[in-house]
Amino acid sequence: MRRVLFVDDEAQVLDSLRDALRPRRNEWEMSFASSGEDALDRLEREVYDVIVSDMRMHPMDGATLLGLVERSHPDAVRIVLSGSAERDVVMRAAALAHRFLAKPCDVEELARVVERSCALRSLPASATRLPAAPRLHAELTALLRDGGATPADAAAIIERDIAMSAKVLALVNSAWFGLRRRVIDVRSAAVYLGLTTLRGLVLSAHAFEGLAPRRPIAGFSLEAVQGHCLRVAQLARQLLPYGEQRDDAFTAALLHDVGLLALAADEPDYLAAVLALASDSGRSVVEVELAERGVTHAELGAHLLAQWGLPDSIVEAVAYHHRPQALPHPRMDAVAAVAIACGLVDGRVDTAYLDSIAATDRLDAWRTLADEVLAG
Amino acid sequence: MAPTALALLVVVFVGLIVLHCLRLVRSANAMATALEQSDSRYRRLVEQIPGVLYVVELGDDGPLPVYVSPRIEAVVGLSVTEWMSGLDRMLALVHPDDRAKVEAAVGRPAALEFRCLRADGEVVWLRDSRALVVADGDRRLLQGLLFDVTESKRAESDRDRMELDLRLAQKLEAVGQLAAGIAHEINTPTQFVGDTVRFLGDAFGDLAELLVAYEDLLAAAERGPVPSGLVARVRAAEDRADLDYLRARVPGAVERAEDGVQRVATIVRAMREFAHPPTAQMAPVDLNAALRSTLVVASNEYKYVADLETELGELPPVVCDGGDMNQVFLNLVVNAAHAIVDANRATARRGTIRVRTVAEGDHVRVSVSDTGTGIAPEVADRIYDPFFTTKEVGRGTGQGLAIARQIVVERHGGTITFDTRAGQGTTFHVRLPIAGALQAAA
Repeated sequence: MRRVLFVDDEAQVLDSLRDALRPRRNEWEMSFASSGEDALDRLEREVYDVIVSDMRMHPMDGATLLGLVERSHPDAVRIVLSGSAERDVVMRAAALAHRFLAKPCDVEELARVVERSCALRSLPASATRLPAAPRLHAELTALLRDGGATPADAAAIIERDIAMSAKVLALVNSAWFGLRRRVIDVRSAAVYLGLTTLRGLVLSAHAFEGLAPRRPIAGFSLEAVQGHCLRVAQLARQLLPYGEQRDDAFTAALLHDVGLLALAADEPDYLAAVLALASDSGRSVVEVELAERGVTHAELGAHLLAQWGLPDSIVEAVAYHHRPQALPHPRMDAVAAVAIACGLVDGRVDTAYLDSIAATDRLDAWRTLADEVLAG
Repeated sequence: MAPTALALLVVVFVGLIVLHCLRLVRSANAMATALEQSDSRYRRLVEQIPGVLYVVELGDDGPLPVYVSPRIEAVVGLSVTEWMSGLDRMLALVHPDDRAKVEAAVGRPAALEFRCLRADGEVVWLRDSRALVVADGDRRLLQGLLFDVTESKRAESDRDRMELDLRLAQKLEAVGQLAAGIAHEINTPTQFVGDTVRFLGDAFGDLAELLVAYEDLLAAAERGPVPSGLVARVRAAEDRADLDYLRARVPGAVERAEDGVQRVATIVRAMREFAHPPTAQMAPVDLNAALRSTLVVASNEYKYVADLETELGELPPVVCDGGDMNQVFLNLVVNAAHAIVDANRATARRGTIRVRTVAEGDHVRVSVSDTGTGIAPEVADRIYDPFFTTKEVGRGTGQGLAIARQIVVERHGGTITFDTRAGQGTTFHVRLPIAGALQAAA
């Protein structure tokens, strides 16, 4: 039984959710709170797996509520269901919540998102020690949460770290990005790419820097992994139309092998053994990982990114990049784009999965895009 | 006296006469030359005027063309001969909308402006001023001057349009700021109406299945005693259909759906009433209705920070530009909400916005009060300056009160004043003449 708490200051929204979600009464135990204060009261008395909250409420708004919930109940999934689509509200919500849903949102979509977020939290864990997020990332996240953040504010934070600024600009100007003009300062990069993508870049640069193996590992090359991530990112972005999904796919693809990096940094011997087994037996790395520990670098990376506070849309794309078919309710989204791009770059295609998201007829066009990326 | 002397005298006399005659002839010639010269000088002068000089004789059979300067051809595209052939030729070129006015002034001293369709198809604005002169005893002549004023007319309308554009731009800016709030106001009912309709659809599906069970029961009852197993099956079907829940909730759901649709309709209606563009048209307006729609449109701006109290007295229709007045009310209400936010930033307390209307003799007064920060004395005389603002970037561009003042004072002949107390709040009063600006000035 999932325990879901809905928070909204409009009684009619709560009443209609109660009615529309009535068919789920055997799977979900639902509670309804009419204010942030009411929600906090209930959270003190009961345990909830998921909080679905409105943003604009008085006196305690959704951002304040979710900030408190994050500290007091870090395991609860935080979902925003908001009627205001103002950029500022969306950005604050994205930094505070695991998911952002805009009203009007179909209850089926709401249920799908709740189920998927819960599924993400039940993935197998690993014993690998996870490094902390970079300080810059925490500052950028805090900036997004405060609201009213401008690209200039974000640039100012990044620019204080000269090495990071250089790395971000090198990534932005690399051929993988496919920008038509050269971006010469972080501020332009922030304006051009948006704060969320920029934050992804900072994480990627940090991960490839901070998680570098302390000694060489047979069969493992940091440069090769980074090159692969950039190729997949460039391709994944082209598989989706403009929009948030596309940005999510790009960021997730940049970071999708972060689990391999964590292994290289913390358990180089295990990683070397896995790679050797894979190359000797002709099995894939994922198959060997599953056979050895029952958990792969994909879940490990997802745990790391979830711990760093990235939104679920990115975390799940990393978690399922080798087995998207395991995710409930498949469709052409960021998860699919990263998985398909990763497959095309590595030369494997899961036609059954393409069928399940009704994308088989697009395969030829995607292959052409992949060839261009690989040739570039 | 000797005959020779006489002859000499005669000769001298005749010679003098001849000489005199000769001088006379010469001076007559000189006069003629001088006349000719002065005539051509006047003609040149007349022809150099950047307008058309004309003379019409007012005879018993109506006005007859006497003279027109050749510039007529450049200005309206008629040749001198064509103009001289009759005033109808000129009248035929006058813009249909202005023809009545021009016809009414034919043969009279007047000053008027009208549009003309020039021979090349271009519409030109002409200013015509004429005066009556009496010449040669009882000949009555009308002398007139026609100027092409198209350029200055255009500049004038550009100026009017710019003023209109500025008001429209500020209104659009305000509406743009409101748009996000309005989206929120519409998204919320859309959310619950959608969910409710889904619930009702599911409910009908469940009830339809239950009806099948009831029909079986009825058919069995018609055949004879009802088997107890069938009753149990019907009871189970009732449980599956969640009958008690549906009975309890469906009526409320229908009401909720109606309410939500009503809410969206109210917002859309208010938005339409609010957004009708400034037209420079003055017409009788129900100011209370205008205020109500403005308060609906702006509700997202204040409802999280303030309670609204309205006290709308009975008002006669006020002659004004409704779109303009909506803009004034919106600016005042949004300012009130912002002042309350600023005052209560630390405490998250709610404030109050009071909107009152009252008829006062030949004026009406609309007052908007807030429990906000008040206006600091050092800025009090600058609040109507264009671009003056105490708000942070993105919250206002300092046009609101400047435009409000322009609309109320300059366009409507009203007044806008305020009372303020630091830390207590501000009340703005807008007073408008019921009969409109023109009648009030007369």
